[in-house]
Amino acid sequence: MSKKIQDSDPARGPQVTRRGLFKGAATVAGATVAGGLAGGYIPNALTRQALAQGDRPIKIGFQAHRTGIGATYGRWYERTTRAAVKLINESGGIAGRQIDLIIEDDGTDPKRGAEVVEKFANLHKVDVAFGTLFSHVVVGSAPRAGELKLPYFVVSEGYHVASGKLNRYVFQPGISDVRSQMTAISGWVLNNLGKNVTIIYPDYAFGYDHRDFFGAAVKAGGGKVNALIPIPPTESSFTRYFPRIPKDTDLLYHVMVGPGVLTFVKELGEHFGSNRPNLFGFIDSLEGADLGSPGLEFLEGTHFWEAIPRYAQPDDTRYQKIYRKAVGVTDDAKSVADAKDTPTYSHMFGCWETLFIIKRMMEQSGYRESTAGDKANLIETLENAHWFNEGIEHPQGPKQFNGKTHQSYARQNISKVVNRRLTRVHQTEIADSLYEPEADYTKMPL
Amino acid sequence: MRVLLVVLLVFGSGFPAEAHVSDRAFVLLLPTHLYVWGGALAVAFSFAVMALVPVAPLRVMGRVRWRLIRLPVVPNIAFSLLSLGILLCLIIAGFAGSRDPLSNPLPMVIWTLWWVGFTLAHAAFGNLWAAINPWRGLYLIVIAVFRLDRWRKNPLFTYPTRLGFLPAIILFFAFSWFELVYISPQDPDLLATAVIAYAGLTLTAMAAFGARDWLYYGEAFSVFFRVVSWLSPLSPRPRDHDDGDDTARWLTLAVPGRSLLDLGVVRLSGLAFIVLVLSSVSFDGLSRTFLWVDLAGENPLEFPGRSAVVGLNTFGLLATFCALLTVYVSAVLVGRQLGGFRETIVESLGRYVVSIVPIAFGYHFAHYLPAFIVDGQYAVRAASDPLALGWNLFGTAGMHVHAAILSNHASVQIVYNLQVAGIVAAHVMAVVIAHVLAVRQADTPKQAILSQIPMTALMIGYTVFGLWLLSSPTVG
Repeated sequence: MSKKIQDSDPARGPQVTRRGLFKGAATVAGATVAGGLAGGYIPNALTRQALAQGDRPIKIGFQAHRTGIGATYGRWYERTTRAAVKLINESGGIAGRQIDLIIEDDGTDPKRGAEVVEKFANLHKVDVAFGTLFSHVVVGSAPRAGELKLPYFVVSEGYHVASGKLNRYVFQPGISDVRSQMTAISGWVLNNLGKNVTIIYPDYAFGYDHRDFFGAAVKAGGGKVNALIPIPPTESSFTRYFPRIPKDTDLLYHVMVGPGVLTFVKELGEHFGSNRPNLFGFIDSLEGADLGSPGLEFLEGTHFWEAIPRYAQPDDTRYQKIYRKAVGVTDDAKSVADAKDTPTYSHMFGCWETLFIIKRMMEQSGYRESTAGDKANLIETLENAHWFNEGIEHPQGPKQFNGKTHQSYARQNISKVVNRRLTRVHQTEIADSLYEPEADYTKMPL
Repeated sequence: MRVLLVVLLVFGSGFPAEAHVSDRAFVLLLPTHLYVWGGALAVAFSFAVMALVPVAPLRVMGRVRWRLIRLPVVPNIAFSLLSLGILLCLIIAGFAGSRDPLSNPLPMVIWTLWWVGFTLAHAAFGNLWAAINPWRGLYLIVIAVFRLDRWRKNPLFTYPTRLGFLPAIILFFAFSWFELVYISPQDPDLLATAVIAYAGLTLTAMAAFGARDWLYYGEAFSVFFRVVSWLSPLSPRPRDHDDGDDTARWLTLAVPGRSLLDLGVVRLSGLAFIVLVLSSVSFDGLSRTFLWVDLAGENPLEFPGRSAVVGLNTFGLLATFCALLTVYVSAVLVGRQLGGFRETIVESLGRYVVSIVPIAFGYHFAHYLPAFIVDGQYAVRAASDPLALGWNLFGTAGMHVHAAILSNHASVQIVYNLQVAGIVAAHVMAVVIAHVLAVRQADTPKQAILSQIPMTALMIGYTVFGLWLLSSPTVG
């Protein structure tokens, strides 16, 4: 388990060092939080110098799900990305150079995703590519990024990066992976919500991950899996599956996704009435959905994992408040511009944090041109990073970064539905989310 | 307690592809089966009403046409040149503007304002495309610049009219394939290239066969918009002959769909075109359903994207056309047997196909309505900064797109009701039109009613199918 490394000097600007000097360093320079949005980010001397030179902008290719099944997420990923780029550009850019964001639509399709990566590298000649969410698009695009030696920063939550099946050019530093999320929350869930567990899950790989992992966690935690109830992916009514939930179930762990999810909750409520077991699920099922929607009344009192609380909490940090305001989300988890629009809050922060990491690492590595050498420096600099402090750049919280697996680890939240809004009842430590690394990308050639 | 991982886990799936709440999630909460059966009953009831009420008042109503205003005499070429100018600007934006298809005006105008919105406008206002298509302007410019006036008077070839609308059928199929099956029809520079290619093909064909014939038989959208405009209550008509002014035209108002009754017998290629229009929009709906994705051997909860189903969806697009054609032909053949019609089979097939036009339009309306509501806003936003230069020409550059209309219970319910109303109204209109046409052909009212039983069964079936498409779980 890695040791938490504190920021040595929060007021200090980002370090710009040579590759050799940086190697072996245990600390990534801390957040440059010298005030709120208005006070902004203070560019260091070298940044200002570069700004004065009027260098070309840094081109960041945003591989966006603008069409296809990812479009709902894509909309909020785009809004968050634009907000982060705006803030970075207004506060001096990357080493004084403005970000030129180039958005290409991948249609939420892996083949198109690979084509988009090619366009980024060969046509637009971007410095880095960024922003992919859906796992199958990441897995389809990453090999091409590796072949073209294009640093590729995904915001996917998938375990595919840390699993080692991608390549040296792929990073996921701005959001934790689903394996670490489950690792972090299982202990609290078992201890507080019950140990006689029924797992209800969609009958395919995503559901199997939850079934296998949580099942193992239940056994390791001294609990008992009462029943496993797989639901066929094409199902749109679930009533006939509920009688299979054993009566002595304390905790119903559900991971339903898809257009049937509201029906699932409604029918579950009709089945149980007021006498139900504890429920725990991942907010992924209901991202972008108003918890006040009809049919979701039954969720009152149930628990969800959240990466970052969707609704403002009394103990929110100032960074969370600044971030919430910058991306245009109200304390009641609605768009400032549209009181009906619920954000994909537990995922989109990853775009914000990733962009600030790209900025920091480019400045840290002395990145100047889209050359193999500068890109290698950038990659090695990030691989040597261990920690990103909580701050404006990291409103979700601090991140522990593993340079070998190219993956960040974060604190996780468990929230309870109270009066149709989510209230955080527990926050894990980063240490709770760590697992034995299975990959070492640093051994791959650049 | 901290749970330690003691097992090696392989996470195969990562982020789940369907981890968001789509509009269909809210639709599935509605009593959709009641909508489906209600819609079917409404169409059946309309047939019963047609069978019971005398057709004479309908005929009278159908003959009524009011003159509204005298249309100003403006040469069509002015509109065409303006439209050509706009198209050129859009193509430039396609190549030079934002790479984001939702921020670039070209895909927004082509797919949302033109293909969806402009089609709706044709049903309301008549054949606008005939007046403003950019092809005439382009053709005349090329003729003038290269001094090819002789081609204008004597085209290189005479259009082989025995082909009928075959070129338009092929081109419309290609367009549908590009829209519904190809993996990135929204890509701005790819779309700009496609528009240039189509303009080049149209120009060449106009030069070869003459503008009039190609725009009548071959140019897919001239044929398509002409078909849709038959639904419009508005149409320009020449002034009465006795006023001595041949150029003056009046805008007239009639019962919607009135023009369909005047068409007589549509040739077989026209029949195929109309069926193709309905089948392509039907297939787009079908191809997104869990049922189709499951048939394709893919898991609908982790739909892999268009690239995985290009072959299958190409087949599906063709198969839907063949299936619909078969069903329609069968309904007409059985109907003419029951009604004892004396006209030829080809005449019967060509006569009743016009009743499919309102259905095709109803599907178009219902199918594209949700996308139009959201992407229409993107189009307005994109117009302010067409070249991604930070402009804000109309003050809409930073406009928030209210996409939550499709992820909110109340608004989804309104949209769904509008869609259902569109499908049901279209089918009722189809029943009425088919019945009026049958009464004209049949010797007795009874024969007319008998002849329409198979067609009505088809209409009811297609209503159920259309409402099922709107009510089923879909990918995305």
